[in-house]
Amino acid sequence: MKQTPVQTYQQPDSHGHFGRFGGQYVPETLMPALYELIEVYQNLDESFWREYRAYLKDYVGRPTPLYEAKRWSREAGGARIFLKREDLNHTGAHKINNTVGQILLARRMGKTRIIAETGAGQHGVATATVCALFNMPCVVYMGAEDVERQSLNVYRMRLLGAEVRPVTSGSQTLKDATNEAIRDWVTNVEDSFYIIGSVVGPHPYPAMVRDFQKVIGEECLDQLAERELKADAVVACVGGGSNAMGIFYPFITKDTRLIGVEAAGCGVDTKEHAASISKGKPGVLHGAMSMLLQDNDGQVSLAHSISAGLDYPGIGPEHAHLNDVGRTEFVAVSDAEALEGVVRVSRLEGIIPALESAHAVAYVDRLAPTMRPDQVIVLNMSGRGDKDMNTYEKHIDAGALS
Amino acid sequence: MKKLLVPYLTAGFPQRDWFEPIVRAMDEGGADYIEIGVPFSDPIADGPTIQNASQVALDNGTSARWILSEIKRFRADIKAELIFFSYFNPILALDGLAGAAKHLKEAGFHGVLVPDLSLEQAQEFAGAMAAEGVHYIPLIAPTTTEDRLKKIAPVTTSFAYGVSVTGVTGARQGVAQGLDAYLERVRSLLQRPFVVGFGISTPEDARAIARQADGVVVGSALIRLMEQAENLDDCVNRVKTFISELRTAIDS
Ligand SMILES: Cc1ncc(COP(=O)(O)O)c(C=O)c1O
Repeated sequence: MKQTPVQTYQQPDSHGHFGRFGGQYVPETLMPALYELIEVYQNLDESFWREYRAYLKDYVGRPTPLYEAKRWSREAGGARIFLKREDLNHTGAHKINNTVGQILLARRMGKTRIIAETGAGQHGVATATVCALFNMPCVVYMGAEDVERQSLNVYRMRLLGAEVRPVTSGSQTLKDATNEAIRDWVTNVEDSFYIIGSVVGPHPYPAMVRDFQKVIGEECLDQLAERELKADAVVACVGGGSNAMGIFYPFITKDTRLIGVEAAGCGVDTKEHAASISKGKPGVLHGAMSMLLQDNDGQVSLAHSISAGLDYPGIGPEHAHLNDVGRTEFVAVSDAEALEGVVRVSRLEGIIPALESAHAVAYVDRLAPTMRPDQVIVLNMSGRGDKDMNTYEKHIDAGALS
Repeated sequence: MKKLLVPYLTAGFPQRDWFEPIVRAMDEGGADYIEIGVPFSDPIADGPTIQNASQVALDNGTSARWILSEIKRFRADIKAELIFFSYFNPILALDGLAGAAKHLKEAGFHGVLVPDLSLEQAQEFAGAMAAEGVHYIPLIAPTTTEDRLKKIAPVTTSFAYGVSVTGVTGARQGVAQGLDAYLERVRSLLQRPFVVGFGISTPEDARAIARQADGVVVGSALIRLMEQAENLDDCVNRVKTFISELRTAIDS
């Protein structure tokens, strides 16, 4: 598919709209808190950003490498594949870039308690980590089903001193954990700060989380320039869309294909998938208008993905907008293909990806052979696979490993 | 002025064919406005009681379209005004905002209340509703500043709904403390009547609130009565009796 180039890009507008998406669809109780947040966020001085960058460098371990996967590129037979190694961040995923930013903000606002939602547990762990670092009480909401399939991360959060509250309503996954976090926020808005884990939620969250994640793409641009290369395609998996937005954003005005990989679960033509762009309709969930999996009555559908971090029926409003204007492409990768991707990059590069990132791996495996050897693909390796070992052990059959 | 009594129900709870009898019971018990709650899969402003009622109603096959067709059928028999109480997404799914406004008007709704629609987001919505003569009922919270109240006042064409607590819906022990200053602020800046809800569970609560506001909304406490009902007759009796008790309490 041909993408439409963009010369300049200024989103969102002052009310948080990205084209027809975004906005602030929340109970009145929260509106004053959102205004307060916008006010503080838009007026951050250089000392804030200095502190943020210092923590990213010394605590998170940035910059992360841009590594050329030569064996895999050769095997795939086409473009050169580079991996942006967000899996090497402290706590094992890109999520911590954002939690560092938000907790520094919460401190500036004088908030004394932190709330978060989590799917795979990576955002929960990243939040629990910065709460330990800054000595703040932390409550993490997590769907009961995810508590089960990501039990290691639950233990990590508890070890870090966070309280994990399993959520048993609805589908018992990320969507319901987010509902519960919002209810807590509505109730405790005076003293609590809600650290949202992706580019979702009411304005200013989608723009703010993107700004805390765009360091990924900025580093890529520098690292490519050092090698005198440019990216022909950037590929990232998309749950809510934060790792994708973080790597895409600095490339929006460049001549680079931007490709988001959604979870196709059992297949986009079944009922069991999480492909909001491919199969959703415009709708409102968790504070913003975006593309949403829903039925004809406007009830939100249950998403399905083997990967807890992608198991979400919505997507960040900026992605919906970029798709609207033809600046990005979205593709979908199934559970089975993602698992094949895990084995492939583990065996070829000695890098075991997170199940979420493995969706991007599986797509790059398809994309690379269609491109020339002088072309460059950058894949956002959003996280490492440690948290998924139970799932891998259960679902990757011995045959694939022999 | 007579105090307003505004009961809420989740349509389709606990059973779909109890909907009409429960609405009639509320009307006969002395309700001024009845909030007809549309169940939603993700009710972020609701506590456990209404969350559960929504889930049961959805499992029973209740949809906004079904509610509209039912109301249209028996609207003429009901004296109270009806308010369509729904999260934004199910309304959007009723053929867009203009389409939804037409549907609400045809069914005979007086107003519409959307717990997850902020004032910032409501302009187009309120306009579409007004074009069909349906009132947009704004929400006010204890965190609402004076500045915001001044913006809410001019778009209030029927009445406004003041939330009594910073929190979600649900019956609580006793009414929230420290309401005086908040309700005074609302009273002084709003030209239209305002009712107060969230957490009102007894006639005593209702009486106390009615002294400071133009009326009361009762939701979760009614849903809990319906949960306890043994059969339809029992449910109708309990609802009607409770509504009359609330009526007496706020009128005294
Ligand atoms: C490693 C990893 N990648 C991706 C995601 C998906 O989130 P997002 O789309 O916001 O990057 C998650 C979420 O938990 C994750 O843990």
